[in-house]
Amino acid sequence: MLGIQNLKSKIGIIRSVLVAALLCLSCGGDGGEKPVGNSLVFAIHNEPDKLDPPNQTDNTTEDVIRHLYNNLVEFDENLNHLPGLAESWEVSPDAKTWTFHLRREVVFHDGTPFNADAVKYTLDRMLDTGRPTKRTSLYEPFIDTVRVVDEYTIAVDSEKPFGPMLAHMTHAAGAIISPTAHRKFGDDFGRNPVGTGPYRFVSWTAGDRVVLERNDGFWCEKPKIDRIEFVTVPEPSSRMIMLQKREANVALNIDPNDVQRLEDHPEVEISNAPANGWYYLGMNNQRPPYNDVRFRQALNHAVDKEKLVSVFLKGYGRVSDSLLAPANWGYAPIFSYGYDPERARQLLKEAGIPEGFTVKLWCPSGRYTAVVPVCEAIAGYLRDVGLKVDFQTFEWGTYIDMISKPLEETQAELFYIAHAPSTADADWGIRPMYYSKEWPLPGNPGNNRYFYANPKVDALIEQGMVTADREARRQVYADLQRTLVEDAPVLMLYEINQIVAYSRGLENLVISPLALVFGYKAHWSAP
Amino acid sequence: MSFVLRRLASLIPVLFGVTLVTFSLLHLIPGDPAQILAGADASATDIEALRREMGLDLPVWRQYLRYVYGLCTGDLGRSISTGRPVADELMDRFPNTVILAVAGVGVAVIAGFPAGIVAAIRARSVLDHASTVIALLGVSAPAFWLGFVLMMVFAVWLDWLPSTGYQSAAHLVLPAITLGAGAMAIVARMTRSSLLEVLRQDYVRTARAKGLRESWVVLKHALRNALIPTTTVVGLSFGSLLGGAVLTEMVFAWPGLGRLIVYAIGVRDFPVIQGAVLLLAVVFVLVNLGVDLLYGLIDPRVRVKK
Repeated sequence: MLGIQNLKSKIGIIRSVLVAALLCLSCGGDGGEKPVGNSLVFAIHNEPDKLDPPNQTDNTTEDVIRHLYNNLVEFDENLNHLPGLAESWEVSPDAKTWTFHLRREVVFHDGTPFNADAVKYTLDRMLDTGRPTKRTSLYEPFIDTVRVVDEYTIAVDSEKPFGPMLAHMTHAAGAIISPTAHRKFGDDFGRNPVGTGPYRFVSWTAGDRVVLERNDGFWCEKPKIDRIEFVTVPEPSSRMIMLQKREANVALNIDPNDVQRLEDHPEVEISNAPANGWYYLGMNNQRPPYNDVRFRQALNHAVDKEKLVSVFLKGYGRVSDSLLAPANWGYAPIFSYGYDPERARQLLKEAGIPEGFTVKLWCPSGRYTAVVPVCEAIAGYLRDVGLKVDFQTFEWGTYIDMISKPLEETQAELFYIAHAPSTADADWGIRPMYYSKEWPLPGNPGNNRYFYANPKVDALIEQGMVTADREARRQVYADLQRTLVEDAPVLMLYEINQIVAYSRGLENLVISPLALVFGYKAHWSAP
Repeated sequence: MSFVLRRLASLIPVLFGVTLVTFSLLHLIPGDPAQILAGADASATDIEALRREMGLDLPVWRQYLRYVYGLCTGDLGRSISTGRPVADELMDRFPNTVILAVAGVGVAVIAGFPAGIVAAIRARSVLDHASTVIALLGVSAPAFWLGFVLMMVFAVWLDWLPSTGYQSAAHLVLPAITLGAGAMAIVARMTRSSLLEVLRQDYVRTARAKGLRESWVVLKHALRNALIPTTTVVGLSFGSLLGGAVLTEMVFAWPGLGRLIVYAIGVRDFPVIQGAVLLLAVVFVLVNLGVDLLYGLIDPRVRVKK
């Protein structure tokens, strides 16, 4: 049995290396073209905090980081893996050792040569539990040692096989940093970032902008835009006015309600594509009657998700049919609970819920698109099936605290939340959320805020982690998603499309389903 | 001189009180900086590590003592979100806030003062009523409304000015008007009422009886005495403009202190919030002291007896 699995995984590896080699050919395709001397201004809603890859936790910071650095394995526009600083890779037959063959003749922005030592330095930082980074948990639990095999080969050893290894290598936290610069700047490295990426860091004006310029020595397709500025503009309306005046060229996170206004503008183009996050109501699965699957299914049937998407998201979204958005690797369409108030009433009756039973519904007062009106509408739907709703909104900092309390203390029942797995892999999309070892405990926060515990789910999660073969993993996650959807640990809602507005004439902007936008392939069309 | 020293000495208990109040408030509101900073999908170990790194695992009173000790040695601590010294964070933003506040007060004085004088000498005329209406609008228009209206008109339709940013003097015009509008209205109303009061006094009648020109009577004799309440208002609004420019800074993407504070509150960046509140308290006390000293210049009777 084990032998067959190994053989399977070997075949899988050969295939992935072949695909990788093919994809790499596309890199450097039209590098000979004359660069158009021009710049690009991104209007972003939050200032980046630190441009230090493993200490980054928000999208705007990650966006800048992905212009400055490269990973061993990178994502393409559709979140497929392709070779980055590693030209190819393979996994040992026991799936415990991953070997990466590094690209030669790559240099960091500060002139430091890129080699196995730099990779070891970067990854060892992640394994140092004495001085942990904000993303140490993506690597430390799964990686035992990082070995330099030769100058351009690095091996990563694990105690147990770890299936999502490549996905974790693509995470922005896995970007390879210049060891020279990190030793020199120490804690201030985040303000003096040095990577191998298509753009190099120029300056940072606090509260205003981060300026990057083209890295002429970039190892892959040379960027055509000379200079990229990330300007912090907290007000959505101000960002739109800047776009209309061409003071900014790219704006992220456009509200669906503003699309119409921008679409009619001659200077602005709109892109609208699925993103990898999904939105739902979490619920406390240990608290009666939420521990009764019939009650949870009743809640799922009570809400008209199609209406929510068409009214509040103006159609820029999709009703979820799994607990993972389709943009993530491992997604399998299961089903969505159709709007059926009669069925909901009947399930409530079967679960012994009296008419007028009170449920508590919480939502944050901002942060997500249309979150408050959506929650108000949900409250209405729940009232329609005979429940009473105690509805409250909270400021985000308070909210995240109140929904993250351990079981003994929590007052939360139903609460709006979203998850966008930053590795775009099913493991990270499901494990932190539904694994019974991820409950928030006193003094030990966790992401399974639903206090969900299901031995079958736990077993599948563990199986997915130790399976290296991609097709075998895919099957595990399909089973896992089916089990979860049928058990309805949350009230499934929808995915929201990522709407990006940019200046007319700007071409080849890369819009990633990770809710990121990249300018390193972009250029201005000839006037 | 001793008056100034005494006032400066009174800063110490004020600042102590400010640290105590902000510190307790920050620890009373729910919200865990480590949880917020680590991101929605952070693991337990990441959050614990952050908490230890930030000293949030210590009891609250020890955290306070640590903070006060740091303050006494001139150390405001490091920002939780950026890792930079709080002093650097504040000093990057504070000059921008001062520029904006000075410009806002400038707008308030340049526009509000003449409007108040005209309204007073032409009391109950059309001009007076017009200035009342404008003042009312100025006081009641919220920054996010006025700011966007100005931006639509002058940046989008007329295309005379840039919409956001702070790189040049042109960038300053719209935020300064937005910020100064409220203070302008108050200055105008205050100038009008205090000037009207002074104009009714005997010495003004005497001046007129001497045959002085009306403009001379108003500008030379009456205005100086009418200045004291106006100065107070200008001083107070300068103090509050320094701390209360948040909305204007948001609308115009102005990289000032107000935006820093709002962001810091959102992510519970305690050291930055404390540092900023402390800085604003110091500035507020100093501005008030400046106003008190100005009284002495304007009106010799106010000078404190030796």
